[in-house]
Amino acid sequence: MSKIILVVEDKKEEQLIAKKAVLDGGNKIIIADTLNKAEDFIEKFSEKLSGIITDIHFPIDSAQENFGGANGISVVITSLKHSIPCAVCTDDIAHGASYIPLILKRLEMLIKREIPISGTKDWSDALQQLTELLEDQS
Amino acid sequence: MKMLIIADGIFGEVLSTLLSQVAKIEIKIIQSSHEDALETFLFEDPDYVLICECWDKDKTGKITELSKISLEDISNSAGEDVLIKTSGFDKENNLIFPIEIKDILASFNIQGG
Repeated sequence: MSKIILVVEDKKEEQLIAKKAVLDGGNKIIIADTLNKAEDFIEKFSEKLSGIITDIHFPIDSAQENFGGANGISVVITSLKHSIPCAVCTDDIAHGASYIPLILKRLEMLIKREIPISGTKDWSDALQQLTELLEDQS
Repeated sequence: MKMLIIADGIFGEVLSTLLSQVAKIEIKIIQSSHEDALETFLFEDPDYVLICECWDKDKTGKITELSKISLEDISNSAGEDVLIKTSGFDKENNLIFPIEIKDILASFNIQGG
C-alpha cells in the first residue's frame, strides 16, 4: 500500500519539486502551504499519514503571505505529538539560520527520536531519509 | 475507469446517478462531500475528478468557496494522469461550465448517449 506523505512548503516551485520526488517514489502526497493548514491535515489524517517532510520558514495562514516565521518547528512538534515520523527540508541553515539544527537536536534529545534534516533543500534526500526512518521503525 | 464527483447533498447523488447512466463506457462513479474530498481522492485513486461549485460556511463560520479549497487540495495531490474539471457558476451567477450531463462527460472525452 502507498505511503501518504504530507509536504509542508509555501513556494509553488518547491512544491512541484517535492511532489515529483514523492509521487515518483510510489507514494501519495498531501501539500500544505501554511502552518494552520498543515496542522489541520495532521489532525484530520493523523491515522493515515506515514510521514511528514516540512520546510522551516512559511506563513501561519494565508493572510500572512509575506511572513515566514520558523513555523516548521511547530510542525515537527505537532508530528511528534501524533507519533508521525517527520523530516526537515530547508536551505535556511546554509543561509545562516544555524539555530535550526540546534533546536532540532535538542528536541531529538528530549524525545529520543531522530529528526532527519536535508539542509540543502533537496526533497529527494529528505524523502530518502524519511523512508529510512520509516523502515527502521517497522 | 473511475470518476470522483465532489458535490454535497442530493445534488451530488442525482448528478452521480445521471452521469453513470448516460456515459457510454463503463465508469464507476464515486461521490464525496467537499469536506471529505481529499480523503476520498487519496483512497479511491480516480481517473477523473469533477468538482462542483459550493459556497458554504467554513469551520470559522466565514462564507467560503469550499470548491476552491477542494480544487487546490486535489490538484496538489493529483499526478499528471488525473483529469480534473470544475462545474458551476461564478459570483455573478454566470454559468462557467456547461451543466448538461453530455457536456460534462464530453469535457472528460467520454461519450454520452
